[in-house]
This record gives sequence, structure tokens and C-alpha cells, in this order.
Amino acid sequence: MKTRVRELRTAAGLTQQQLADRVRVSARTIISIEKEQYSPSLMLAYRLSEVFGVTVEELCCLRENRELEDQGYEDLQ
Amino acid sequence: MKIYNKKGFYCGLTFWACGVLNLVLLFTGFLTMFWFWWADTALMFLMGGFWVFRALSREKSRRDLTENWKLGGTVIYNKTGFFDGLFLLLCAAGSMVTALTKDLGWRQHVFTVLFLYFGVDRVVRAVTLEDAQKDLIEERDERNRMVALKSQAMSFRIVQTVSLLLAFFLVLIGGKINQLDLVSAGAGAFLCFVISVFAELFTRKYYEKHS
Repeated sequence: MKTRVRELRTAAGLTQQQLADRVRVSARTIISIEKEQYSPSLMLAYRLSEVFGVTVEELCCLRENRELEDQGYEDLQ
Repeated sequence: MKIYNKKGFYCGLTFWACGVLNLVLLFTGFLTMFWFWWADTALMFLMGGFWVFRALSREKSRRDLTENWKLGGTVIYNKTGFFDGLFLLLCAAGSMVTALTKDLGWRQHVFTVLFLYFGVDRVVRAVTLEDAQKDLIEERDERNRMVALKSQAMSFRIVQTVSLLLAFFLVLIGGKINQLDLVSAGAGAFLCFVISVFAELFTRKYYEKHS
């Protein structure tokens, strides 16, 4: 899933390890989220959005991701 | 009867299983009748009982799950890690005692050193705040859990497929060259496959109901 974690982390001047420590996950998880290989759980998304001061919707690009998902279903029809 | 601390309960059952294994090894003659092994077996049963009964007590389980333990002046921040370490140290002690009575070659010394190293490492990490925090984060990390689940599921699928293929080929080849041993081995492999299918059915039913 596409997220804005890398963009917001860089803007906040945090390293991946520092962000991982703040939200209590491993640095590997942050790396995977940034590479779009792993979708964070709702709780982790909430913790991340609290750190960056944005909403979960903005952090996880929910509108954009929903449109992509809908496109996938429409392609099936 | 309700289990309030599942981890503790299964830890107790593991200790009991190790105790039973010790008894089997003692009575089949693999382990020499030596006071250490009797003490070790008794310790396994005692530890098992301690954990199982603690896991069934609501108040004790609440304390185990929420509070850090204190051992003298030392605080145990990561109980699972601490007991993993103790278990490894117990294995190291067992290995050393076996070396006194039976020579099993250089491999045993390698195992002893590895048990000692990882045992001490786990215990020290469990009582050091910073390391314990790091270990807990790694243990509870959602991606690590997902990776573990996926790898376990894939390993299960591989073992299931290999058992079926092995059963098929062993029975086929055994039947062709009239070797009953091969056919028996094939039947064993097929039994593994059948057990895995039933295990999957029952666990699926359980999680459909509880998820």
C-alpha cells in the first residue's frame, strides 16, 4: 500500500530507527512500509499519524489507495 | 477451569513434557542413572506444576502479565527471555553432566558451548532494561509476527506436499521391487500427510469460530 511515511519522516528530520523507536516497532518494519512492501496495521498507522501530526487518511493516502483498489475490481468486470 | 495466561500454561506443559522425556530416557537406559538426572526430572515437573497452576490463577496471571518480577535486587524485564535463557543453561548443565558419564564426541562440547553462550546472553539481556526493551519490540513487532506466520504456513505446506510425494514414490517403488520396508516407510509418510490434513481442518474450524 502506498503511504507518505518516507516523505513525512524526511520532512521531520527523523531517521528510520528514530521513527521506529517512537512507534515501538523494528526499523525493518519502517523500511518495508516505505518500500510499499508492508501495509501497517490500523494501530501502527494511528501511532505514525500522531508522530507526524496528520490524519491516518492523509498518511496512508486512503483516497488514492481506494481508487486503485476500485480500479482493480472494475477491471474484473 | 479457565487459562488466564496461555503462554505460562504452555510453558508449564513444555516443562512437564521434558520431565516425561527425561523419565523415558532414564528408563530406556540412554541416560545413566545418576542423581543429577533425577534432580533434573524433579525440577522439570516442579517448574511445570508451578507454571500451570500459576496460569490457572486469575490474580497471579494478572501480575505475571503486567508486572516485572524482582529476583533479589535484579528486575526481570523480559520474563520469556529470562526463562528461555534458564532453559538453555539447564540444557548446558545436562550436556556437561552427560559428558562426565558418557562420551558422545566433539559435537556434544560444541552444543554445550552454544547452550552456555545463548543461555547467558538471554538471561543477561532479560535483566538489562535497554536490551529487554529492544527484544520486546522485536518480539511484538507486527511485521515480524506476519513474517513468522507466513513462513510457518509455507513450511507446513512444503512438509505436507513432500510427505504426500514421498508416500506415493515409496509405495510405488517398494511395490515394484517387492520391498516391504519401503512400503512401510511410505505408509508412515502418508500417515504424516493425513495428520497434517486433519490438523489443518481442526485448526481452521477453531479459528473460524474464534476470529
